[in-house]
Amino acid sequence: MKRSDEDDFRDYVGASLDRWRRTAYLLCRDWHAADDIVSITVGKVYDSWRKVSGADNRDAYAQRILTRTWLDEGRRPWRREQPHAVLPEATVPAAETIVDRDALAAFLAALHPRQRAVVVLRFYLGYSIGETAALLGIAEGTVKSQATRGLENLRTQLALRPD
Amino acid sequence: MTQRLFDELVGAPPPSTVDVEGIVRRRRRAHARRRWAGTAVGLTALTAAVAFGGVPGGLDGGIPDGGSAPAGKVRAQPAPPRPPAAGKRSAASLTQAVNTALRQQAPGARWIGATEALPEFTWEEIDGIGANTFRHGVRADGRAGELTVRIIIDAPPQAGAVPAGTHASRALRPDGSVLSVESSNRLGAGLPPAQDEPPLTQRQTDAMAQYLASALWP
Repeated sequence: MKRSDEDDFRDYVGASLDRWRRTAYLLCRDWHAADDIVSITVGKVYDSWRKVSGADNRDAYAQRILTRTWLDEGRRPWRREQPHAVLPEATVPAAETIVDRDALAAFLAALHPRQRAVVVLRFYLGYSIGETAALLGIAEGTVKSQATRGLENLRTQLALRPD
Repeated sequence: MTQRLFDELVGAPPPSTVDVEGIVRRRRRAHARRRWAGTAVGLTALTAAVAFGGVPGGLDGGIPDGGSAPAGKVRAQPAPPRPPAAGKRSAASLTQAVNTALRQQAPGARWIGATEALPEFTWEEIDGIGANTFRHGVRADGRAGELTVRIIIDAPPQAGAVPAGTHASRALRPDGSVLSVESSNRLGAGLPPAQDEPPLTQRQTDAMAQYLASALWP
């Protein structure tokens, strides 16, 4: 990579790091793991800098790398989430109870990793259904079906939450 | 509103442990290692081609100036000097490029040393900075000394001070690494100067650096 490209890379990573860390934390709910994921993402973005810098939407490209890195890391044996006897759907808090951060934390923790990614991408980062589908490499219909598990209710409840 | 609740959940992030500079350094080294590892294939092919006479005048770059062909053996017609092809290259072809550069930029210069064969580039680390390094004795215009060519992956932005009796030149490569050429008036570290001036002039040193940078990575 040329020096000028590296400078551009550093500027971009410096400007994006905080958002990446926050997103990674929402996905994995652990700051150490979040920084691990962001570190891996930074390396991958460096390797693909030519593609990232030439992309129409750098942020979306980098976000796709981060999200997929998290999904891939979650599949590794030592990071696999513990299986539950009860299906995750049954443990999702009722949408009307999600009015504070603890309830939101419980809600996110109960979601399957890909569902969690859908929630974070759609409602934290504000990506559309189409963009979310493209970022995760899944069909729009899949995003919609996964979002039906209370996500729209969540958004409604959050929108109604008093300041 | 939604984002605000998410932000509340995130809270105040702890200090980042993401070492961006360290990641850049490691990736840069990994890329460089991959480039150099790729030269092994070229080295094998080149060695085989030279050994079986597949490259006209191929041995020309490996014989020190002044060396003669064995008696009774027909010496191949020397090929006109040409810059080596771009891309991954073997350690032997790098040495050959240095030999060609010296012949072109300092026609009267001769290699000197205990062995006839020119050394290949080897990995050296000085003050934590690694470089693929070629080092060999040279004599020009009656002056003896040492010629050092380095390809430095993580080169500091500023060149260090040049010791007395040394001419040095640096050429920045497109990938950010540096190619440096040094002509010293000493035949080795710790040895006394052979004379005041190094064998190659500053102009010749500059020309060699520019030639090698453009010939090896056009």
